[in-house]
Amino acid sequence: MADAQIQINDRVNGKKAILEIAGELDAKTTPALKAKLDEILAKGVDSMLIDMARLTYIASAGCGALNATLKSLKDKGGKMALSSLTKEVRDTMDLMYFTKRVAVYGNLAEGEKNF
Amino acid sequence: MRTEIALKISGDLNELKGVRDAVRAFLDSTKHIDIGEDAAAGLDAVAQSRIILAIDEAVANIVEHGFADPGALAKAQIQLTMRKEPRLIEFEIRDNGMPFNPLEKKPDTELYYEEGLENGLGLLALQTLDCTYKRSDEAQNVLVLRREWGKK
Repeated sequence: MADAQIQINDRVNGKKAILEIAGELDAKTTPALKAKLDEILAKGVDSMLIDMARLTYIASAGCGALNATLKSLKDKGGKMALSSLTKEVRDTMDLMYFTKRVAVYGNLAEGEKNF
Repeated sequence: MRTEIALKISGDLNELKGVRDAVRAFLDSTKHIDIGEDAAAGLDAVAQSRIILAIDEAVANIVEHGFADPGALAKAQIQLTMRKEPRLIEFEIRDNGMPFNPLEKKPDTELYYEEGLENGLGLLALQTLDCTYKRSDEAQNVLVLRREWGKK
C-alpha cells in the first residue's frame, strides 16, 4: 500500500511567494508542508498565494499548518490567499471555516492578478 | 442485502492513506448494488469526501492522542468495520486507547484562528454525520458514524 505523498513547488519573489501543493495533506504528510512554509517565512515573505489545483485531500492537520502560517503572515502585516480548490478540498476548508479567513480565487491566474 | 468489511489498523499515521482508500472503495461499491434510488446512484463526491474526512480525522486522533506513550501506541489495536444496510451505511471504529469521547469535545474556532493553532478542528468533521460513542465492557472506545441514504 503506497504512502500518501505531498509535493510542493514554490516561487519566492521578494516578500511574496506562490506555492503549488499537490497530493494529499493528512496528519502524516503535513509536517513536510509545515517545514516548507517555515522555510519560506524565514526568507522574509509576508504574503503567500497557495494553489491547490492538484491537491486531492486536506485534513485538519493541513489546515492547521496553513493556519499557523496565516497567523505569522498577518503578524507581519501580510496575507494569505488560496486558488484552484477542488470541490472536496473546498468543502473541508469551508467546514473548518478556513475559507472565511482568506481570499479564495478560482484559478492561479486570477489569484496572481489580484494577489 | 447486507455487506460488512473489517479493517485492522496499527498505531501509525502511515495507515491513514490506506484507511481513506478502503473507505472510498467501500463507498464506490455501494453504487453498484441496487437497493433503492439513492443507493443506486451512490453518494455524491462531497458526501463521500465528508465520510472519508470524518473517519480519517477520528483515526488520526486515536493514533496521535489515544495512547499514553510509545509503548502503549505500539500495542494499539484499531478496527474499522464498514457496514452497508438497506437504509444506511455505518462505520464503527474501535480502539483500545485511553477512554475518550470525541463527541464531547467542542472545538473553539475563534481561539484557533486568533492564536494560529495547528490542532483542534479535526473533530468538526464528525458533525457532518450521525455519531454515537460508548466505552465498551472490553475497555474499548467505540465510535459509530452513520449516514442514511437520501439524506442531504
